[in-house]
Amino acid sequence: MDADQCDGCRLCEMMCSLVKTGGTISPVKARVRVVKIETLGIDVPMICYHCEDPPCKAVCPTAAIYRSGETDAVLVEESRCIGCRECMVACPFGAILFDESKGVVAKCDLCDGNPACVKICEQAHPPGVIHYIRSDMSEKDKRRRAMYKLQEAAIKSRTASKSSAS
Amino acid sequence: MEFYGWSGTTLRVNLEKGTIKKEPLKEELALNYVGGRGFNSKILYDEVPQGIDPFDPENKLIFGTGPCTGTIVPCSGRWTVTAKSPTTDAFGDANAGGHWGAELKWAGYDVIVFEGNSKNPVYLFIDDNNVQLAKADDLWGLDVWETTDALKEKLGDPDLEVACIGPAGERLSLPACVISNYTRGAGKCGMGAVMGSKKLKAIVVRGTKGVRVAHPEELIKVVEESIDILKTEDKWWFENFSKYGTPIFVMLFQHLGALPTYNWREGWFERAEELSGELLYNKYVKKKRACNACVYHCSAYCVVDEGPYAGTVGEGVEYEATGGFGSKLGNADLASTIAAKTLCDKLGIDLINCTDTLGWAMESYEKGFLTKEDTDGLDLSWGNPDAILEAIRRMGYREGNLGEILARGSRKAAREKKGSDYYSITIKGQQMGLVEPRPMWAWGLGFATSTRGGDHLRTQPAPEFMFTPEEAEKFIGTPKISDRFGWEGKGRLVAWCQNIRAINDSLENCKYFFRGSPRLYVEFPAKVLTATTGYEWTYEKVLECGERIYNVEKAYNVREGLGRQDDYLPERFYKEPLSKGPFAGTVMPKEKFDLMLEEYYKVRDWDQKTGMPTRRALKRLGLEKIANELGKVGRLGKAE
Repeated sequence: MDADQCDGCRLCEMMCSLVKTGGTISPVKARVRVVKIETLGIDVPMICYHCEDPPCKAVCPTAAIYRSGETDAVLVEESRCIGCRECMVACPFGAILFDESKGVVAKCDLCDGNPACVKICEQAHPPGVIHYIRSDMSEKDKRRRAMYKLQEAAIKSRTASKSSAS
Repeated sequence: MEFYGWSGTTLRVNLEKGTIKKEPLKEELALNYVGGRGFNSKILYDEVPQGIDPFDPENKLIFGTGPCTGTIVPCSGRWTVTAKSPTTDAFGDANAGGHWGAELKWAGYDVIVFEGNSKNPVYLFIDDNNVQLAKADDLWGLDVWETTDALKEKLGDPDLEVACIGPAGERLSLPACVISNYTRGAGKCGMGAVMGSKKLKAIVVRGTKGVRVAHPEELIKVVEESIDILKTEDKWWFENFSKYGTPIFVMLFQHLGALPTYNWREGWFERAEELSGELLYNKYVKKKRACNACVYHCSAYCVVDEGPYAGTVGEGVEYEATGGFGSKLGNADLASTIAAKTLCDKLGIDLINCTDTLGWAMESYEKGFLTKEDTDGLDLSWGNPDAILEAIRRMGYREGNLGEILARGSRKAAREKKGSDYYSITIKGQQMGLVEPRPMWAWGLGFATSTRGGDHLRTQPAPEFMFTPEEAEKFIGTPKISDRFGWEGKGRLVAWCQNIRAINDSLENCKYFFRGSPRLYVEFPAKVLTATTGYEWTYEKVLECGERIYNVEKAYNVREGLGRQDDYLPERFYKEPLSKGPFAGTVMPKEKFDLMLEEYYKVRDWDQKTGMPTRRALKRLGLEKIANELGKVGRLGKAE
């Protein structure tokens, strides 16, 4: 996640809620939320980090929270969830929400490996702020992007006197 | 009746009685007026009687959102506020971006109609179904940023969306606007002053219900397709507008000889490069920010780190700020334009009205129509940034002689200063957006025939540059429009653009979204409306709705007594040739303007002599009731 680049358009929230509810766009039903401090120009998408040692999974009394073999995502088995919300209390990021209509908790499930939020973000604001990449690639990717930023700053300082667009 | 897209509920708040009613949306209104601006215009025409004072309790203040507001439809997060305008004493509306409109939709409302005037300051708190008026005595007097923070603090939720007025609106200063998200102003037509006259300080919203979409998969497809069209068919625009935003226009318009300078005396500023969008971006922009569902993020969070304005932060420093407080006032200090923009946001002042009024004041000061006594000693010489900031403060607080003068806005103030009228650059009393019409004839005609007075956005005839002759022939009916100095076809172009823009505004879609391709103008509105609302929409039907909305607004103005004489540019543009820049020597020849105007009336099927709508035109749009009403008061045009 390139949080410092998020412009706060909220397309990720809206797309997530549309896909997950099957027809209603409502950020409170989204599993990704953009948190803003407008007076400081800050917008940060907050989402489940699919922790290595998930506190939500540890506290779940019915073992409704499990790790998927396929995507390595931390998921909720709705049929086992009793709606006690212990996982919401335990999550340090506020990434779990309560689905009032079903009486169970809901969280990011990485859309089975094709996250709707990532797709719209990358499409609307290339190169995008939220990305979906293999975990063993993430550091590599981050290094590459950090290098680019450093390089960009260097280029910018070298060409500061020339200001022309197209 | 349950709707998709539209929330299906109108909120009616009587501020005099303190009552709140919820009314169901009528299908007929939805299908004929689309939403936002369209809904508001129809309600204003139907419910506000002719001839009232804009501050009279009988005036209504109407907030509207579009059927796609609060959805994934690109750039659909806008909202419109409508009332009889105290700047024009005729039809008035203003719209803004940000996230407030989307929140209102998520709370379950398409429209809020405020009626009557409250005796004491109040604010409205909408928390989904729970809607309450509350006392705002402790907020009265606070600026926009303080008010927004105080309400979030008091109601205990930092994510609440707040639209409010500042000191300017409270004091009925005519350049006052309504601001949401700290910096998003619904600027035009003095809507903030109307809100102040109603003693309505703020509208606070929390919405968790959301917007239901009729065909989700279809909508996602249309949205993805439209973003691809934008990115591929006008790649340069997508990339550069995303990066620089509207401040890029400073140099674009400079090259067109259309950058208003020294209160519209010139269209070329010798120090324009010091105000360029690139400079703003490189020096002051810290972060790009977006309105709800925006794919551009043209807005930017700016910080001034050094110099006399160090410590200034601001957002939405648009072309109207860098050009308006810049070239228009002969000022080349870019940091001061950021400071001026932020001051306007805090006081709740519209940039366009403010900068035009200051332009009039500075030129009148230069010519001696405004004296030192009038300005309480303030030196209103061109390009004096500290005087600009001080004048804005006095305009907002209505302080001293100068504050009283500026609070009337340039048009009304000029009437009281004999001889200065010529320097008030307004149409129907409304100050003009920052496009110089002498070398841009379609823009000139668009300004003059705008239903809310001097305004470029009512028409925004970008197809003049964008369409190929083949596209122009196909959609507008003539290939001649791309000749900037030709009159033929301009009436047709302007009428078409106005109908399309009425739809952009009623969808509450940002106009910059459509710029990239004719396919977006023509195909996109019908496609998103069909996918969102579940009703079948076609290009023809959408265009007819746009024309209907435009005719209703026109009828409102005609009923108020406006006519052809009000559809002209300020005299300066006909009389004074530009003396600098690539189009030095250019004027807008009045006889050519008349030819454009008559072609325009003809295309609209309005009376070519008087500019009043004919029964035939109104009947074709299903507005026979309006035709009857205008006929009764002798304000109906004659068909050729």
